[in-house]
Amino acid sequence: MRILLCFMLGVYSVGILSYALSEAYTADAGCATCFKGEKAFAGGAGTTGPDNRVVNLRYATTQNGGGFLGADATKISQVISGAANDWNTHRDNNQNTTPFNFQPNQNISQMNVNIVLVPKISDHPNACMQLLAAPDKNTGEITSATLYVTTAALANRTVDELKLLMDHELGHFIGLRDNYNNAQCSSIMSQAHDGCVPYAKGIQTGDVAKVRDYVSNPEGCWDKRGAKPHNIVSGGGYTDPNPIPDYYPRTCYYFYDAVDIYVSCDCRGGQRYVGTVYYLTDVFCNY
Amino acid sequence: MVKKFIALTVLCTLLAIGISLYSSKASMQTQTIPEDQLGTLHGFAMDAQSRGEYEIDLAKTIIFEDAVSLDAAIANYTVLAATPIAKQSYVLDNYSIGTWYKFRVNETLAQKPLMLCSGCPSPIPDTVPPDMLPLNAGEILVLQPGGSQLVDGVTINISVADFPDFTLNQKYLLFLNLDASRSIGSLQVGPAGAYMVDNYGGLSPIFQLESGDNPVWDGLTAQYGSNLNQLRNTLNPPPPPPTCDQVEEQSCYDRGGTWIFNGCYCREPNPDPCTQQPWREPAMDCGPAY
Repeated sequence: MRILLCFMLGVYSVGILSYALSEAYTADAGCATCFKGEKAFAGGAGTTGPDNRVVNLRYATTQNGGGFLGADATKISQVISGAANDWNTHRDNNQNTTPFNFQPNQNISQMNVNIVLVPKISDHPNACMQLLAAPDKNTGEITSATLYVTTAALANRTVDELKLLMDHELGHFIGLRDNYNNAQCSSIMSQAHDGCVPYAKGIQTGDVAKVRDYVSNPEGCWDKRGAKPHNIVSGGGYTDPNPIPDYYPRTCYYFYDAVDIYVSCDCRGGQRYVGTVYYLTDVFCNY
Repeated sequence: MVKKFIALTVLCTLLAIGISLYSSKASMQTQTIPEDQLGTLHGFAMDAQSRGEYEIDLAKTIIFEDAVSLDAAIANYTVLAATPIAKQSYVLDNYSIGTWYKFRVNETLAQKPLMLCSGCPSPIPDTVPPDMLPLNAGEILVLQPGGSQLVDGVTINISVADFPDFTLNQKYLLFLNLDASRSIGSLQVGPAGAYMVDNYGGLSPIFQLESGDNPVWDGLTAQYGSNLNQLRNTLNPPPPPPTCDQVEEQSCYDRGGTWIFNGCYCREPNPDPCTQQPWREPAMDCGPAY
């Protein structure tokens, strides 16, 4: 009897352990996704091999073109160092880091990610940072990128907040897609709130694992980086010459089916009306 | 021995050249551009020209506002069905290309005031291209990041991850941070706030989704069957069915009449052909037919 109980307890324990491990694995792998069909950045100056691909991060210093000067330079240096350290040290569940090695490097001839200060990001005015990646036309390899930081973000956000934002943007450089479901997933690629404060709590094990997937098998990733190019439109664009006027408020017509309910009775016709049930069958609005 | 030495030297030289080329490959494009032009559209054009290229593709990624859930999106944003009828890409400043769309609003399902957060720049652009104006009644403008423009003889195509361009004359369901006073909307939640609408009200996302990737879409699917009509009926329920006086209605039936719901009146029965009076009970004998 004791042996049987021990056996059952053992089976139960193994089951619980398996379940816990599978949940942990799912949490690790479930949120981050990567860009499909492109070649990962091979590494800049200082690269020693495919498992040590150096990404040189440089911030602009010009007086009249996106430069970080004085206190701004000090702050962005802290942000860059922090973000580089985040990516270089975080590991996946198997204790592997990504094959990328981020390095602050002000040598302009060696930079791979150029960090520029801009008054605003005009195509999405309440954004704080944006990454513009340049894939090689022939090979599809991501060769370099420009990371835009707004003056408002630099002034109003803390170093830690900016570091999370930069972690997110550098995640794009090394292949990660945005994540739109912060409520159920935790990933550095989550979206923001209150303008540009990231929800993310930092780089997750799943993020590191997905970067490794991106490098080793980009065809196994989810979707391409550029959704599709916009069509070129010129000459003021197409305008409908006869637009249909639109008036407010619109008028909608609701059509009901009415079904009368009768019960049998001792009366003329043998049935007595007791009520009507209405069903909405169609709606027509004058758009 | 000498031959071996020469061979070794040549090998080392080739190796050094190879390593040098490999390590500088990614930074070659920056060599020919003035530092103050790095990251600008002019800089990208100069870089392309230096390689003999006249068209370049750049891929942009943006952190959008997290929609959190469908209910939160409905609570915070203006929800409308609208159709783009015109679009035009512009160089917005030294760094950005954006595409303005003129949408004709088909219907407004929920209207919310413009949402601003403290310490954030306004999500609404300060200026609008004059050639997108004037707006007719029921038209709005929306700026989408990216687009294509000719800069210094080079066509620069900027696409945004997950956010394809809108198709003209295709109806969309949009969640917008809308400045109603200026009729300008911001796609603040990005592609998670735009869905195509088919002729039957069916909705589909504009970007490829993994299951559970987009809580707004999950909500539209789970709560409204991915259908605009169901969403509309919930957000703007139809007026209650017409109510008529039930006693009068019953009396109409008792007289043998037909109750007309749309107007709440009784169409009296045809009169008794014998008496030319309304039918009475019991039915009277008409007598012999002639």
